[in-house]
Amino acid sequence: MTKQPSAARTRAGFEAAAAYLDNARYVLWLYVTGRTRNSERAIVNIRKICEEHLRGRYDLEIVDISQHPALAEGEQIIAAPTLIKKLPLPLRRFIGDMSQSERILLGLDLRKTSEQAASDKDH
Amino acid sequence: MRAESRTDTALLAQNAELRARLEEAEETLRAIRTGAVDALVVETSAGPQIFELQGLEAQANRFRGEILAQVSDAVISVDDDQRVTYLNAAAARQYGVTASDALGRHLSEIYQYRWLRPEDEANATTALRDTGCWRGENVHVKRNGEAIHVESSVSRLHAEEGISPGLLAVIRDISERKQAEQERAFLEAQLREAHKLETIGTLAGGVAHDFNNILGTILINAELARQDAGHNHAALISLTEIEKASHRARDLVQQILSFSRRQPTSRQVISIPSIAEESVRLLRAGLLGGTRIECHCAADTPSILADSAQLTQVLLNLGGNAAQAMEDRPGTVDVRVEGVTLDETSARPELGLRPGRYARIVVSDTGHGMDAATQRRIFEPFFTTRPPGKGTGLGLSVVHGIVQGHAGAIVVHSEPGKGSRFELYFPSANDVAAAPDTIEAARPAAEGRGRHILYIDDDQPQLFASKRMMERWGYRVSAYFEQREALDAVLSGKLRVDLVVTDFNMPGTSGLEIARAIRDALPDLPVIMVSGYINDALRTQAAAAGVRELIAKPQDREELRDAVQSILHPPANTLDRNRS
Repeated sequence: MTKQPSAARTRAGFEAAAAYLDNARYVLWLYVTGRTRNSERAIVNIRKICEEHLRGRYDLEIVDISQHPALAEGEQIIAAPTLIKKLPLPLRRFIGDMSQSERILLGLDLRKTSEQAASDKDH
Repeated sequence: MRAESRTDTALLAQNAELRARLEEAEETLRAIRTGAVDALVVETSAGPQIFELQGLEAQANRFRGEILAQVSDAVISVDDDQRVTYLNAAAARQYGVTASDALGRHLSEIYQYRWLRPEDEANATTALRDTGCWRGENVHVKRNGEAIHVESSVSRLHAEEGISPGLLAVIRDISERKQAEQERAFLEAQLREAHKLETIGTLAGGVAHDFNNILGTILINAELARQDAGHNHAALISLTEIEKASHRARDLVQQILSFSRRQPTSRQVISIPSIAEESVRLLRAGLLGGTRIECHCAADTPSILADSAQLTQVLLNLGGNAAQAMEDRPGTVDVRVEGVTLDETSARPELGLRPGRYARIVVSDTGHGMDAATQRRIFEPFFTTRPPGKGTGLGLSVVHGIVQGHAGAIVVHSEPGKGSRFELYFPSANDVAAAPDTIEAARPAAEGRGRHILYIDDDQPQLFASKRMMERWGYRVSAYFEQREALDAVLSGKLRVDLVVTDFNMPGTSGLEIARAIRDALPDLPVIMVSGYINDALRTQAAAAGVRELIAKPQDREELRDAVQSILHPPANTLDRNRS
């Protein structure tokens, strides 16, 4: 019995997933520590990314854990700033001042990997 | 087979999960090493604890940040895309935002620019390009729609370690200062306007004084000529026309004096509704076909202390103007009289309207209205929008003078094509009853019987005419235009007279000084003073100087005759009354 490729591995599967992401609403939580340098940079950088790539379909929540550390509880946060992509799943975390925009875009599924791009080209 | 597949899938998932967590751990370490992390979060039994990572650079940045945070002006930096990269606490307060909400947003989401002059934006761009900085004023409109006037100092930021290239602005809210400047400018403009009107009033009053003398001479001479001509003389028609024209001129002079507030007034507590209704009745009689005039008087209108004749003139002038504004088209003039109470918020102290109870007269029309430029000049004497010969330009000046003279105020609302609305405010009389004017009953004329009168006036034609007129009444008249010479003659006893008639306004020695000198030296010698300007102050001064009668110029010949007779030949009943 020949193993059938999963839906996500077919071209139709990729396109369906991409279409889903193109319309999905993003829920992002950014944990910062007051008005520290990297926290401010992280806010600036992630809002720029959101405005450029997710305009009108994102909710960005800024959480200041310097005032309320308990807000970090249960979120497995080990450093600040930390961005958590809550939706669409899967959940992803990013740490730092969010200046690595390419890596963030990849992590948010807003950039295709070079492998995916090559696969698209083959088809 | 199926079980094996499930195991494979679970292993693959675990593997992917572990790989993701490893990547996260590597990313965390990389972020810490590169200084992109500000704090570590450690789970403890008491909950998460924050440990800040503070290198020397972070400490220095924090110090700089604290300084900027303490600056009272708003400080905002934006990158080259105009996205906010920094704002201090003052900026957050000024624009009603939080830092976390504003950072990364386009500046236009925080406030919108409104340049004061069209060229300002281009000038700012040029200055920033050429010199790297710009300083100037403009208006920022906040997200809630509130506009604030600001003074900005903007500098170009060059890319450095930790700094994005862009612009740094220090913004000071100068709205209060601007408002104070505008209020001051408004008050200064009002003061200038008041000075201008005062100056014109003084000028007009001066001209009116001279004009009065000329008119007095014309009227007296016309009367003398009429007597000389006798009945059925051909010249009588011309003399009548001269008198008519002189009376018209006298009315015009009275209007100028009304504007310059120099005419005698007779104040009483009056009720405006009856005067308004009578005025509207007069106006209605002169209206053209399509124009209606309506009058509404509220029962609660307070009484005011006013000259009823002047108030009638105000209503006739405003109503006449309103009717003419219709330009023969159908329309309505509305006269409304009501009581209003102005409190601290509705008062207009800049117009002289302080909190209190007022009687308000509103005259509105549905005519062509006025533009702002016309409105600025409507109270200037001789300013008119009517064609030559159709108006003197004195109507509203007179209204202004009378209302000012009654401690009232005028508010005008008008727009081209939307009619005009004049609101007149008169302070309530507060039930203070004014003493009604004493109206002296005309006493029967008597002949002069050779009694001797000294007549002093610096205006020779007037003096000559008055002398001739009084001589016809049977008096002997010594006429002097040199005051000092006249005074010396009478005080030294060289000239024995029964009465002195003197003009008030003369260069050198005034009529008041003459009266005082006579009062001191010859207290039994009565003095009559004639003046073109009679006000309460002059009445008081004249009474103190011993003046028996004060007569307005151009004097009505009967008034002067009666005054002379009442002094030299007092009626028996008056004497009886005085004796009792």
